[in-house]
Amino acid sequence: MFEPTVRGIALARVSPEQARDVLHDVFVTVLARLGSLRVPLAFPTWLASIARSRAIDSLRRTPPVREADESVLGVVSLDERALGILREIQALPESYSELLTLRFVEGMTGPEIAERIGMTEGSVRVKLSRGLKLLRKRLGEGGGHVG
Amino acid sequence: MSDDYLWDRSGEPDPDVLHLERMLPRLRERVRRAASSDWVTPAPVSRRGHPVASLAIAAALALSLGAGGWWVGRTHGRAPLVPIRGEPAPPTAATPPTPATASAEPAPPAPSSTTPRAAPAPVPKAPSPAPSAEPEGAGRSAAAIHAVVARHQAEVRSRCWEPALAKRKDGAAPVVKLGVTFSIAASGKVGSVSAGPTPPDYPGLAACVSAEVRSWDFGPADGATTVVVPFLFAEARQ
Repeated sequence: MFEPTVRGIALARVSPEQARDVLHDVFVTVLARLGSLRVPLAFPTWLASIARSRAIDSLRRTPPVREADESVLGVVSLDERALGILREIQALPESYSELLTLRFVEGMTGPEIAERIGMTEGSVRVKLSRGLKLLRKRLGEGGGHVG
Repeated sequence: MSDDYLWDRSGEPDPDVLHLERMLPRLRERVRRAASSDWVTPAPVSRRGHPVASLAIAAALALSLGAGGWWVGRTHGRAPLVPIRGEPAPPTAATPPTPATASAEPAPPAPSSTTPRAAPAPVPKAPSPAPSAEPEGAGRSAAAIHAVVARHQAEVRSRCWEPALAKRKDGAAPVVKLGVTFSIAASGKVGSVSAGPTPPDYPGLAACVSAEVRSWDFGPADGATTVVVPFLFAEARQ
């Protein structure tokens, strides 16, 4: 039930390969610390904060991209194309990238996102809309379109 | 346009939102199948006359059915992709799949998802490479190298990937990434070739790809070049 939320939060920051490790770390942490959660209703927000923290830790452990990697050319699959869009999403401010990842990768609706991560619906709606606008701009800068 | 569809999928669908909804859920599967040491990172390679110049060309082969969308872009790490130009061909525009075993005749679509099939490699709709992708002072351009790689994709698929699929071990990973490093002499002939890591579930694949690459001719240029080509192999899914 909570896996999509954690995975979406992780994918807003790290690669799918790292996201798998983040998923594992988050659930291990949750199991270890569950006893410290005083307000059960706060679980979604608590889980989301752990997921963010673990994803950021994972990102910090990632070696910096070398110049050699910057010059990679590729003829790539739809999978890689999706990865390319994900990277553009990740380049957005976190408040947008997380919501867009939950919306498009995990397939949640706005109300579902609000419920899962403990935000107000109004805030999620505004950020989704602004985030999509920014994403369109990023993907369109090179003459392409959103896909 | 209203953002109702973006919000809760009510109202008139936004084409861009629909597109993202179609494209991005595949990343969930990618998380599931991710291995800790998944992708081949190209090492800096030397080029005669220059301290370090590197160029990597990724050739994605044998994609799933309907994988008509091919483009040129940066693909590693968190480096941004070269913005996508042009839409992928619709699934119906893709060449029919060929059987997993090498065959000169195209096969009809696979009747079930359990039948391993290697989809053909459509001709890439490649935009001009980004200038930054060109190795400084290179005697041959990234685009020229890319063109040769693309020209040989079908051969690599039919001679190496499809036989490897047929002989693969039970429970083998459906996706294989193989990094091939090779040098191209000024004459255009390929010199040393190394491919790795050898995928344990696909014995012979790395050696076969190396042999194929060794036979390629890139045409004459000013100097020698060393390149890294990550090949992505995947069985097609219906």
